[in-house]
Amino acid sequence: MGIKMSYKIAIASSDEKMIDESFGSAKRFLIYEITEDGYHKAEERIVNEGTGKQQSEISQLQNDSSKQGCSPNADCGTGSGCGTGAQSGCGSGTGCGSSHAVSEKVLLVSDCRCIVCKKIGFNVQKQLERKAITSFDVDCSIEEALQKISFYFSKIDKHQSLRGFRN
Amino acid sequence: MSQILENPRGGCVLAGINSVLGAIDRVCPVFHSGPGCCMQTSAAEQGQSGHKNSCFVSSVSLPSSNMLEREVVFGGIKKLRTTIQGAIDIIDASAYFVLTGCTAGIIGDDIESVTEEFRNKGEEVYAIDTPGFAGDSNLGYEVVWNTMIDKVIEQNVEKDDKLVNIFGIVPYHDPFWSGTLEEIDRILSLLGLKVNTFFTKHQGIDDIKKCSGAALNIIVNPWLFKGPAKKFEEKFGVPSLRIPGLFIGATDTTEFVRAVAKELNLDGELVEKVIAAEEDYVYNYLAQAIGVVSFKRFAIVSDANNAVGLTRYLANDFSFTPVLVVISEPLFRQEDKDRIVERITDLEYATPPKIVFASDQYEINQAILNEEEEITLLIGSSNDREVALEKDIQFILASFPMSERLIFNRTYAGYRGGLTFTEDLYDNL
Repeated sequence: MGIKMSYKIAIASSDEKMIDESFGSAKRFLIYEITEDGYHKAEERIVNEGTGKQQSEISQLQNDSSKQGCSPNADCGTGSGCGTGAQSGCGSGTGCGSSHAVSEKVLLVSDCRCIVCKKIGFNVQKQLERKAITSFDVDCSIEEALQKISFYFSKIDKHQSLRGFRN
Repeated sequence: MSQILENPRGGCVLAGINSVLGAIDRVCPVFHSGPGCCMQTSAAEQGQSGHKNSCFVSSVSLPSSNMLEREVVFGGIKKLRTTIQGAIDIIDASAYFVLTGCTAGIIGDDIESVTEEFRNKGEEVYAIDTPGFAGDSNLGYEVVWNTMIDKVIEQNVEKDDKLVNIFGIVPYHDPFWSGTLEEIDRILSLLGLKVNTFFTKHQGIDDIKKCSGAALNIIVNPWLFKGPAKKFEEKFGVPSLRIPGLFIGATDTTEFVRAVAKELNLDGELVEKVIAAEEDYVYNYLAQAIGVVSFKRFAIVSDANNAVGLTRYLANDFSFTPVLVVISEPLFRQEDKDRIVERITDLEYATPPKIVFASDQYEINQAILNEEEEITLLIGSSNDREVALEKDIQFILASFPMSERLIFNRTYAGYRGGLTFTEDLYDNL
């Protein structure tokens, strides 16, 4: 019956148990793949600290995905332009120096459906929103988060009511 | 109830609850809802009610948990807890009520247990778990009182046979609410009674807690408050007297006074003295301006309470001819409709008007435009001004929603309200 539902969730965690890192300080993202049968850890993406190599890797990634003709990734191209815009605006402010790295991080997880971390800044949240990526800042275990999010998305995807969702 | 309404009059349950709580002194509603509900619910009721707003907290100053996607997925209780604590820290209210928006209602956050946590710490925080989609603002009035009866009003309060509670006048949903309550208060005080209006005289949560000591609940409304009245009697033993419609002018107000006096066995001599003095006050003024208002054939578009009062005043006291009465609030019980029809058609000598129950603006307009008999005066809300202009007839803005008048303590109810209405009848020629 049609398309198989499968998507990725990026999680910022240092110990692979609890969601304990903020989006800005995360050194790596755990990527979980959610299918109709459940979820499993698919890969780990390491954040390189703004080196030239990192940049090229990302653009490579973009090219690869645009070849596949995947529309959300096609948005990525404009997204990076947007990222630089925000970064130049933000770079001049105080305490916002890492915004360059942040928008790279956004690209790093741009094929995911949502990001789960302990804290996330407003600016990044907006950048993710523009790519239709949901962000959740929560304080709980990875297992709990994945269960709740996958249950929620499955309901949304099947156009089912959320009535009594919390019970 | 799957109809679409054009220009609904009033808002959702949340809007009703919000405006009722807003009228109680130093009570702070805390919204567990999406961002926007605070402003929208205030705009739907207080914003259309003669430019009078709750001045303690309302609209954008209301605390809200601003539920978003995260709260739906992970539950909003944690955020609600910090919101309530924040409200307690910042807003110096005597009681807080947590209200649920549609989002919280659908996912089913357990707001009852959160409020209990705060109550255990000695804070006055109560939950009203009725999501916005459950009904309209009239239901909101009943929901607030059901909550008060269940959770707030104290039992075993010492009985006071001179104390009465007034129900049925919905704050903000009736633009004249405060003036009406003040006039009722004034008249009943003359009879030696102590009056709980709950929404005037800075009455607050303490008066509500002690209101079970009253001798009588007086419901001034032809249909509202049926459920809560029954509950009130069962739990606190306070009987109810229903006045089936607002009393405007001397005739109906005297009838009201006699009904209350009979129910409470008041001193007949005092009652007659009060009636004589009040009627003298009214007729003395009317005598000074005989014939200044010319004869009219009128139509009314209003909520049931005001429609009954206005029709009876104009037909019985003023000899105008009632042509059409449109009851614009949604009514669901046949017995309520029957009671309203009976009250409007039971006139002293006028031929009873045609009565239409319609909430949809298109239907209301059609009822007025297609009326075969001549209409020369329309009394209605801001929504009905247009049809009056189209027919080129006199129009008096006297029901909710009301956006082109400033109303403080103006009322059409009671002895003095009848005079005020007569003044307006002349002003709007």
